[in-house]
Amino acid sequence: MSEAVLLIGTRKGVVVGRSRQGRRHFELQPLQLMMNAVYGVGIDTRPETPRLFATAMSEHWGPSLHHSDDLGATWLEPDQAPIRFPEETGASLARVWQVQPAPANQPGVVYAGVEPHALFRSEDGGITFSLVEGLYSHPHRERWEPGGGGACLHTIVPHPDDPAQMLVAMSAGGVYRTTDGGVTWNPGNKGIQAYWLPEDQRFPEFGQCVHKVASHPTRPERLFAQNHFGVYRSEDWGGSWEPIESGLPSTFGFPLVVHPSRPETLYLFPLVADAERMPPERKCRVYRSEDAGGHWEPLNEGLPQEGYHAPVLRDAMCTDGGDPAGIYFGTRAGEVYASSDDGDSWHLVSEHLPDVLSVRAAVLE
Amino acid sequence: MAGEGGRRPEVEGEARDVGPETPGRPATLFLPGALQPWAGGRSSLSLEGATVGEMLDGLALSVPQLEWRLRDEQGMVRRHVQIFVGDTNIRDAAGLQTPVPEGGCVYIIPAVAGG
Repeated sequence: MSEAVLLIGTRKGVVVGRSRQGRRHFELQPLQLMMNAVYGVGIDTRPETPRLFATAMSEHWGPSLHHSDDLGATWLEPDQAPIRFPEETGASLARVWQVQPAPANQPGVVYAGVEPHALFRSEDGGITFSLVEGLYSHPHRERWEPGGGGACLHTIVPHPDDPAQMLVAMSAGGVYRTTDGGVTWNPGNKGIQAYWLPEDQRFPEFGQCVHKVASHPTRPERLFAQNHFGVYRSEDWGGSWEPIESGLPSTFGFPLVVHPSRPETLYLFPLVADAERMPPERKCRVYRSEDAGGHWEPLNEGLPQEGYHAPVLRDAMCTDGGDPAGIYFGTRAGEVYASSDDGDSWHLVSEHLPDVLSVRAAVLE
Repeated sequence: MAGEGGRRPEVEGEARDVGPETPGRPATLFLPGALQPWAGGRSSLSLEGATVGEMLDGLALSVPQLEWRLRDEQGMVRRHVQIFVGDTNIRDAAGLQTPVPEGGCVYIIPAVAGG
């Protein structure tokens, strides 16, 4: 097995782990970017040397985006703020929620999702970014509401083949899609419920509180979404959505991950409810479906099954692209668990970290 | 004083030069320890400017990697950054328009915050 790298974003810095032995054991470096909340991490495997990203939010010194070209030995940032709103917007960057390298057919392109709701695009590998004006000037903007975590654009799903197509998800604006490279955007929320609205208004055109959207690169028209109550599948790239909740202990949760080589397989970490953001029965369980949401099974081997209270946040679950897949998740209790057998069993990578906000992993060639 | 934010990330540039000081030395900007790595390890900088805002405009040119820790892209002082001219918090005076006397002392102080 090749080397694997694991990035762990926590409320108080980032930890880089490397495994050279089949992903069973990760050697963790000391915490870096000290006292910065790292809501998003990313790994760009397109360059010969992978580039790591860590969003950093200092309560005192503001938000930034750091990168590392030596697998986390050192972290860099440009002299000028890498992501900044143009003066004419009157907006100020509050937080970088997501950093997403584009597919291999768009070399150097990296996207960032931020708060307040906006998408930024880099063409120099994630060093400097420009605002995607088409989304920022969308007429719906004034009616997008903040989610519980803020007015964040937290999910970016580039189309694997067509650079003109992309999907983003915002809390609480919902899903939006472009087919012209970001010039125009249209909502894609048909069938997704906004439960907090009056009964006859629960399926609006936009404004849903989507928590995470994911797809598989070999089947991009199929999407999965974990919402603020509700798990959905779309077979037409967000044109319409159907619930896939049968067998789940709860429809509330944050992360959603698709297996890297099996497009029918996906993973969730259900929580009881928004008013009780803890695992059902206080058991730490990942739920897996191997038929695109038709059925669900709990995965608990190696995970705590008594008195477990910690949730998993929207970007704190990932796969590493390996085969068999490595699946990882970090908890707000500061633990990181990993599976190297598609989720059948789990082992502890680390514990006693600050609460984990984000994880990403990759098997390096 | 530094609170939880009183540390900075380990980034490249720890030993970088901060560039030439502004001639004339009309006022001194004092930096807390958390910001000094972005200023080449220095604890103070000499800057021109009749107001705090003008001093920071000069800082944006001479030490840009430091200036945007203090102000956002719309020029607003970040919420947990306190700036004093002498013993006066500029939030209790004229904000960025607060005058800086020649030879004056301006202090950047991180608010106590965090958890």
